[in-house]
Amino acid sequence: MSRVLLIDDTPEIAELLTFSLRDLGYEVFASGFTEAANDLIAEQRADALVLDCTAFDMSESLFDSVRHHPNHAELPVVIISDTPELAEASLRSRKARKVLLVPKPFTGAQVGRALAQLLE
Amino acid sequence: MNTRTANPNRPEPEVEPEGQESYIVSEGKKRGATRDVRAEAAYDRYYTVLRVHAGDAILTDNWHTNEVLNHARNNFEGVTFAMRTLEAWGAMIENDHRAYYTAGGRIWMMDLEPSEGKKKRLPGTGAVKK
Repeated sequence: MSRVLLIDDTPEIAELLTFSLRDLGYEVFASGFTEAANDLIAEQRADALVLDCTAFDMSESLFDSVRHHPNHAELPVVIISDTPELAEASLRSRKARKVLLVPKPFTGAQVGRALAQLLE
Repeated sequence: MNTRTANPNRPEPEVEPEGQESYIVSEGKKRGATRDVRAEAAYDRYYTVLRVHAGDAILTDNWHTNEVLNHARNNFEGVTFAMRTLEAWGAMIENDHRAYYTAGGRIWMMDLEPSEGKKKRLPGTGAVKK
C-alpha cells in the first residue's frame, strides 16, 4: 500500500480527498499548509505527495523545496491546480519530472489515477 | 566583446534532466470536464434535475455524507442542464427520468425531467445553507 502525504489548505477538501484516496487503497496522511513538507515526507515515509493549495504559487514553492531536498528529487508529486495551463508552463520551463497536474474541478478518482501513473 | 575560452579546470556542465512530455492529467473533451461525453449527447437535450437523493440507501448521519449530499444538491437540484453538461460532470444518464452521480464514494440518484431548453432554477431547491 503506497503512502501519500496530502498537503491541502482547505480542511474540508483535505477530508474529502483523504476519504477518497483511502477508498482507492492509499494510506493517506493529511496536513494543512506547511513549510516543513520535507520533514513530513520523511516522518511519514511518504511514497508520493499531493499538493492542493489555494494558489499555485504556494504549491509551487512547496514543490521547489521538496525537489531541492536531496532525498526527494524523484518523489512523485501530484499538484491540483485551478490554473493548469499556467502551472504546466511553469513546470515545463524548469523541466520538472515525476509531477502531474490535476485541473480543478477534480475528483478523487482523478488524483488516484495520477498517483497510480506516477507510482507505476 | 565577450569571448569565452575553454577552462580545463572548470567541471563539465551537468546534463540537464529532460522534462516530461505532458503534465496535465486531462480527461473528457470539454474544458473543465472530468469525464468523457458521449457523442449522442452533443445533440442538445435538456434535463431539469428535480431531486438528488440516495435512493433506497440508508445514509449515515455524519459530516462527510451530509457535506457530499448538500454539495450535490446545491450544484444540481432544480437546475436545467444540457445533457452533455450533466455527463461532463460525471452523471450517467440512464433514461429520461433517472441519472446516477458518483461523489464521495457513493452513488447518488438524480430524478430528471426532460426540458425544452434552459430555464431558471426551480424555486426552493438545493440544500439549505447552514
